[in-house]
Amino acid sequence: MTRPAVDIGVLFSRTGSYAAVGEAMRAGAELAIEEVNSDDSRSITLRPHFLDPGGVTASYVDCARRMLAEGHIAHVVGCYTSSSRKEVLPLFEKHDALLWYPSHYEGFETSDNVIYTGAGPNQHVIPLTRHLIADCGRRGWFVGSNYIWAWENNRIMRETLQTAGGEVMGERYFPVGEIELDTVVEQILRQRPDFVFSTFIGESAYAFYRLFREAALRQGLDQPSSLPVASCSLAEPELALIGPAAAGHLSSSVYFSTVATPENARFTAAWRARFPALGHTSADAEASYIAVHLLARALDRAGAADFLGVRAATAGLGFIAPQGRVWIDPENRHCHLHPRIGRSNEAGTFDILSESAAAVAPDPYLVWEYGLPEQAPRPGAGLRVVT
Amino acid sequence: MNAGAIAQNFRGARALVVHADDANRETLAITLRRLGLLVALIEPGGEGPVPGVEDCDVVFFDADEGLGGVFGEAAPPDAAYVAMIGVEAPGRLARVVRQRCAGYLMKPIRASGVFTALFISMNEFAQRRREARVRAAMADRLAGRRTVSKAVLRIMTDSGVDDDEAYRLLRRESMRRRMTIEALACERLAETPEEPGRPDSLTA
Repeated sequence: MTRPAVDIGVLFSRTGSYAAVGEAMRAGAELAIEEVNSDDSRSITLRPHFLDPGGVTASYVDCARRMLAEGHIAHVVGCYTSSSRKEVLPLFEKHDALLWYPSHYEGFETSDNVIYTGAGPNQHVIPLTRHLIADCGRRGWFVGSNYIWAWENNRIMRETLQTAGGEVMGERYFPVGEIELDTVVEQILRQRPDFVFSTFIGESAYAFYRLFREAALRQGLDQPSSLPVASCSLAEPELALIGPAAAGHLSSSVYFSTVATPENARFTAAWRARFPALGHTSADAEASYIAVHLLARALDRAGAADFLGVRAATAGLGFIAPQGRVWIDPENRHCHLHPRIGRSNEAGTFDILSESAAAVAPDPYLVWEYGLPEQAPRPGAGLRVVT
Repeated sequence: MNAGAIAQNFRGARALVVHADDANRETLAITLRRLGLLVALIEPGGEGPVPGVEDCDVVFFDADEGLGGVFGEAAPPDAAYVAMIGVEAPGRLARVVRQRCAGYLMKPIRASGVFTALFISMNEFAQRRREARVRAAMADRLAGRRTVSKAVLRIMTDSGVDDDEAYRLLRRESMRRRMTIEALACERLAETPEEPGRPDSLTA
């Protein structure tokens, strides 16, 4: 008996400023689609429709409209940046479609039209802050690209650090793509924080890692041990682009290519065989691989492709992913995931320094992460002290 | 004045949603619960006031229907109000203004926007409360000005000091005892009853 084919959209940028990430995400989705289609125990097959918005936010809208309005597709795996996701969301609402969004992001969203398979703030920046406080110290210097990812992550890390009695020694933002970073590198080296938290993306990130390493070397410093740089986005494909300065940096992620599970051994072997030119697997590739597998299981469970039925079928739906068992939280439709801290090595992968013993429940609004601020009135609070 | 800390976590806050049972109310209630709030739902023009509604921190209500007799004879809760607006008609919007809503949501309600309305309205309401406290304190001081003047005169007479020194004594004492200067002035006047002929006496 032939299995019915369900049309799905795959919307990643293989060109443009973050092409390398988009390529890896598309490859992760493609690999999962092939696995689903060759698995006879599944009740459906997936018929993918690939579009490349080229990293241009407005093009995401055009591509999504073609998929949803003209193609009558109800499920799209795609988007990397938050701006692209927010831009296409009204279309998904209008057309009763579901976006399977496979990227770590800054949180503070729970759309009824999105299944989030990447890590949220309590699964990346909070575990990183805890690690830094325990292992490196409490005086941080924040540098990053000037947009939402950097602002929100810095705010969360600043508040967590300050709660622990720590200090932010400096904070600077640069336009996306800026590579003239010598001044800030000098300033950080002068002030000698315990660690640097970088929210740079793309070329700015690579330039910062190189310049910082060189400047530290000129001062005779072993930068990885004395002034570590930490981030929530450094991944395997980027290590190859940074070059010789790529080793020795901290990254917080739910997945590294070096995760030791049987599922990851299978995933990485299949990846190497299928995409030999793409190098190592990465968190974004794994997240889109997870998105497609969860989508296929939801379609199985729902018995039809319609938006409401499939969305209802996602509640608690799980899958043994390369990172470990993951499942969709019925309340906020983000995933229960496995936070880890890794340090980049000479081989272009990460040594895993620590990993969460169990999957961590998603908390996209950080409602449960913090204690509430003191609300009891102080005695004499209405009185002003004058001298 | 002190602008106060910005609240950003509303876990445990109590929300009252006054809206007919439909998809808008459902989306709102689900999203508020995700944000950690305790949510009570009532119908506008329902079967009368619901006990406990006065204990809420934020009220979401249907601007098309209004609050009607939801609170019965009781005073409406002293809380942040957020209007859920369907019809953008001046009459309905006037109701939103009169209710002093600190935030609003356009219908149909989506998950996006709820955190924003909650965040802005709760902080705006907290700011209004702080401002109201400052206004009340100023009104108290204004009302107590005559008492303070009398107490200053009394000290000048009793201690033989000038008005600046008398006021300084009064202020220092009030700070030491952590009470307002007006309350202390009142106390001083009560301790030493008026005597006819004294310069501070009203019956002179």
